[in-house]
Amino acid sequence: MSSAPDPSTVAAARVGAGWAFERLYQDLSPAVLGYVRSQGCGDPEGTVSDVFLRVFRRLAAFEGSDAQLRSWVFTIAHNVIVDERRSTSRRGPRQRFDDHGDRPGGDAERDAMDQLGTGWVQQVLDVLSPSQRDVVLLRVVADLSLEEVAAATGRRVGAVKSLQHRALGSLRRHLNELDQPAVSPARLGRSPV
Amino acid sequence: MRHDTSHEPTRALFDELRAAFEVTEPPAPSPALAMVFATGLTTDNGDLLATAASNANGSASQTAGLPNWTGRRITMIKDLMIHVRTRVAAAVLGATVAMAGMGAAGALNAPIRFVSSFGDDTPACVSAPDESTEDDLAGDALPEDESAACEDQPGDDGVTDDDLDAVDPESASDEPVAGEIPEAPTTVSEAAHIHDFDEACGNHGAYVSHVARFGEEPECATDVRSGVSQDQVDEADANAVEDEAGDDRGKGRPTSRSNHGHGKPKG
Repeated sequence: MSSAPDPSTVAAARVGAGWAFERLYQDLSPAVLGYVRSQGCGDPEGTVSDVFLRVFRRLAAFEGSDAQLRSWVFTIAHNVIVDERRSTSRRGPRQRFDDHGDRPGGDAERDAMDQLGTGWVQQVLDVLSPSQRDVVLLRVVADLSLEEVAAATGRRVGAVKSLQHRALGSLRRHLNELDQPAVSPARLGRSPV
Repeated sequence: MRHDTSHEPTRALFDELRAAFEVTEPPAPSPALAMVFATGLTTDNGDLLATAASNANGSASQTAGLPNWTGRRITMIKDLMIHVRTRVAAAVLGATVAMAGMGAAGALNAPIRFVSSFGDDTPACVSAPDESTEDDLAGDALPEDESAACEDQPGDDGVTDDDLDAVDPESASDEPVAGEIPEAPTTVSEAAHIHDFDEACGNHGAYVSHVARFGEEPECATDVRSGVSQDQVDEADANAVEDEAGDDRGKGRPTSRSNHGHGKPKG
């Protein structure tokens, strides 16, 4: 579990201080960006900006501890992704999630291997239903607890447990059918001999 | 995921998942988000959550530019109201002059007592000609309350009875005093201003038209000037008739003159 944001920073952000917004963004946006990418958004960076604009606009009305702020941010991120899914289903897909054409990176070979690994993981996750996928990604990538995932998805904790159980079963069966190690080819290529 | 990782491939998959989507550097903010970082945010009501340092002493005063059309509209409404009041006052004044002229020329059948007032809270007393008979007009043409309301109205010269009382008697000796009968008119315009014989002659128009036609006052006016009231004349006439007719005739023949000041005879 990631550490909670600094209370003084949160307090300053509640009253609209720009510097506090920027600090919260630096602390939380990397994890949010990872979650957004894992969900296959077309424009992950733009989506993250939209998420934090919503967060900052509603922060004054946020009622919760500083520790709950992180899960609240992921809740908003999840809602933004759901909205984007709905709009994409009406307009059609804009871009593949793994098309990180302009993502900055110094090592082209490593970037290529990362994309290969991301593609393999995504391929495995495709066996899951959207609800199972949300639960798995929020639990693994966003590192949220069962209760926090339940709050983010608007489900009961028992329902989240059930979705998680079925997601794990589907993944096991799929990996056994593939009869290959659960390590991406990219990681195998990088692993020391 | 921190639970149920007994399945080795699944645990390896989750490790791979974390590694694949692990990001260490924050993404570049959008222009809108960068603006928020620079200036802060406003609430849903449009107010700043935190007052910027430049606005600590309040917003800057407007120096120029926007038209103050609200004040201009108020000025236009005021001008319109003044214009309307001016037109109404002119119309009332014109009606007053016309009525006075008609009365002076004897064109009106009924006596008109026209005391105009230009004040807002003092009613104008007008008895317009109507279907009333001459006897009605000679008697109670004006109701009691209207007569009372018109007693102290300032006339054209703005002088009231109270003002007249306050005038020095010596200095006012040449002025007509209330209760005195003015001298006989020599012109029609002078006759038009004399109302002392309206009751005796039936109406003001009859008096003025007689002066205009014959150049002298009618007999009803001269009788008043000679101090003989019409009631006394009527009584003398009645006595003469009684003497001639004897005791078998009724006493005190009532005439329309005897009803002066008492209104229309009953029955």
